[in-house]
Amino acid sequence: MYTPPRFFRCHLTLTGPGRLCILPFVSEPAEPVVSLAGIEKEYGGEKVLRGVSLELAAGELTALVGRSGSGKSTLLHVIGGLDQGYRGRARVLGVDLASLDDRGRARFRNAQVGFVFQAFHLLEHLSCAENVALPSYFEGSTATGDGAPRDPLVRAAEALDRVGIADHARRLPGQLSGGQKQRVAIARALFHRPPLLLADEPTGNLDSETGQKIIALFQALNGDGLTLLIVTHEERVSQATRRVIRLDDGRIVAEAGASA
Amino acid sequence: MGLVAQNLRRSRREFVLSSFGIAMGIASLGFFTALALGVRSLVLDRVFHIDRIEVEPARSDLEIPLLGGLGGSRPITDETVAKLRALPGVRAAAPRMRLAFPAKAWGGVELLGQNRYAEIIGDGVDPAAVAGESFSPQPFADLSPPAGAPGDACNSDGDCKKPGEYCAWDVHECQRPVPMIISKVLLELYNSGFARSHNLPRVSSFLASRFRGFTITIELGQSFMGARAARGVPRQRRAMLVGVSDRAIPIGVSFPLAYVRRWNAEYAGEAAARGYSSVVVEVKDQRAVTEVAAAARGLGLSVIDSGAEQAGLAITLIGLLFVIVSLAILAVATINIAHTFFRAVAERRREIGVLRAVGASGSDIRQILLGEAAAIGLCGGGVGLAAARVAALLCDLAARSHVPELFRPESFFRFPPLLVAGVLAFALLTCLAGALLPALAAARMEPAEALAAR
Ligand SMILES: Nc1ncnc2c1ncn2[C@@H]1O[C@H](COP(=O)(O)OP(=O)(O)OP(=O)(O)O)[C@@H](O)[C@H]1O
Ligand SMILES: [Mg+2]
Repeated sequence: MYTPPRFFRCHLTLTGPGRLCILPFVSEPAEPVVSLAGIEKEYGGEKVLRGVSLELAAGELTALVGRSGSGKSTLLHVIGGLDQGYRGRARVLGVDLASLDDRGRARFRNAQVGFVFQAFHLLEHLSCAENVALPSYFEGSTATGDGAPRDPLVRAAEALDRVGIADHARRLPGQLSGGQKQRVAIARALFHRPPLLLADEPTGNLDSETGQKIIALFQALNGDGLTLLIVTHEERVSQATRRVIRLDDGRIVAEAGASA
Repeated sequence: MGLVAQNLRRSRREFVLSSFGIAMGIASLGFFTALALGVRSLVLDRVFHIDRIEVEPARSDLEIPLLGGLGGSRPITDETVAKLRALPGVRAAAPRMRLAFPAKAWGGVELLGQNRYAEIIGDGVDPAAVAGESFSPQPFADLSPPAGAPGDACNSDGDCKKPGEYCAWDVHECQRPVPMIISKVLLELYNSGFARSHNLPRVSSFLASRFRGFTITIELGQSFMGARAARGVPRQRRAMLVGVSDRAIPIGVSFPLAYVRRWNAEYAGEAAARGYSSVVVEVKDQRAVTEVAAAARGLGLSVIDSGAEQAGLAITLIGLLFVIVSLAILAVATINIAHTFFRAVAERRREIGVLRAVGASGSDIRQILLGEAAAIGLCGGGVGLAAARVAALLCDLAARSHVPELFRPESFFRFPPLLVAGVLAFALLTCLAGALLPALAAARMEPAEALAAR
């Protein structure tokens, strides 16, 4: 069962043998998970982002679409704290990213954001469980919300279970299909139960049927309260989301199905 | 860190190759440093005795040194010896007195099948200086009968009933032979030259113990060259080898001081018996040698140059040469490591990006790479040191059959803990130095750009 991440305040809690959150998503109009204002970014004089402003509310499932080279990945990196050379204000999960140093950004990525990439980016020499447990090497003392630190591989097995491939934990990535690899990558992104998941073309290397299943997985995770931003080229992906943001030449040019 | 181990396991080949270079350099560094240390201490302690200096009366520059030792200079008195003993840092001061008159010796028929004849070069050594060394079958001391209590009367050896005594026929008196010691140097000279050319058995330290008790006849006051002492009547006495000591005169034989003092008085005059020809000063700590030498010069003495300083310097220089060669090997190994790591960083760009994405900071990346380098350094260093030790062992083994036993130490090598630690630290540092630039470059890489790498 997916336990709501810390970001969400619980409105109704049943206390018994454990603690069960019954109403996790009926949040007050809290601060948005992502809040960008006038983000600009250039590479060697060439402007890649030209003043992007957007907000993602908690629990939103959003697609980011646009032509190749329009700046989608760049925007995703800014939001995830992977990129620092930008102008404008980026507030994510209540933190102004510009205020963090390299170590602070690393902590932030480790605990608050999950990344999923088109090419999976699994380390081929590590087993699936070890790949999933990779974030555990960099967790600070405050990183886990689970209380007492437990064996990373046990936690990795749980994460793999959540994405439906618990029985592949000990295999090497080379022995898996594309869809399975992407599930491992998603499990790695979810390892620390972050409130926000950023996916860059997660279905780009998958056939349509497998891609469909990954989308379904994202929808299920979103149903459990995870906020997702998915960069995609594919119609059917954007159709599966409630909100679609279109980027062109570094600007947001259209937005459909905005929530709330 | 677990990631370091995993990375090393993956790129096992690069790891082994990089370690190999380091191991080679470290092996040769460790080997030659240990050899230089070992040989240095061997030569200085055992051959030259770095903790000893020998002082003799200073000669003025104008004076031509006379043969026969004492020359025209003032001999060393008991008072001076006492002053030397009192110097700070001095453990012992043993006066020596040269034979100041001609003498010859013969003997060896029991051992060699025929008698050998030789002029005697010899001196007197204070038995106190060799106290603690073992001598047999009789002690190294003045064994002559005390004045007023002469030995038994005799006409031939058969008349002497006390064990070990012989008949000194000129005075018809039973006496014990004069104890005599020789140096290892002399024994080694015998082995490497005389024994070989005359096809005689070589003397090992085992055989040297059989030599003990070997008796020769000495004739005081007369040489084979026909030279005669200025005074006194030549007479024959027996002398018995009682041991091998590195405090014996290097070339020649040493007798207890009392005998030489009496003989000198008899054959060369009272003046020759009054003073000592030299004093061997032993210091408590080799570092005190220079101060003690200076103090001795202050007492009007000069230090006999043993060549120890030059020998030590030569060994150090040769050792240094090999150390430089080893350092060159290590420098190449370091460059090789830098190269390997630069390539690894380039190849692992995307992987580094992934690590950054899941929460690695720049310094985490740097630490991972330096951790790998440290592992290579420690492994290479450990293997290198082990190789050096094995090589040293083989060399010692080979030496067992090629190097004269008397001077052969347990080992020619010394691996003090400081050397082991130092060499390991050096291996570690070279590897870290090699990996530093690549690690810094990797740490500076923008995560987003690293991820974008193909
Ligand atoms: N590290 C970089 N150095 C220089 N230019 C870059 C770099 N990264 C991206 N760019 C440029 O920025 C622009 C936007 O790149 P970005 O990757 O954000 O586009 P994208 O929308 O993700 O494209 P795609 O759909 O092909 O992934 C491109 O013109 C690209 O060439
Ligand atoms: Mg992209």
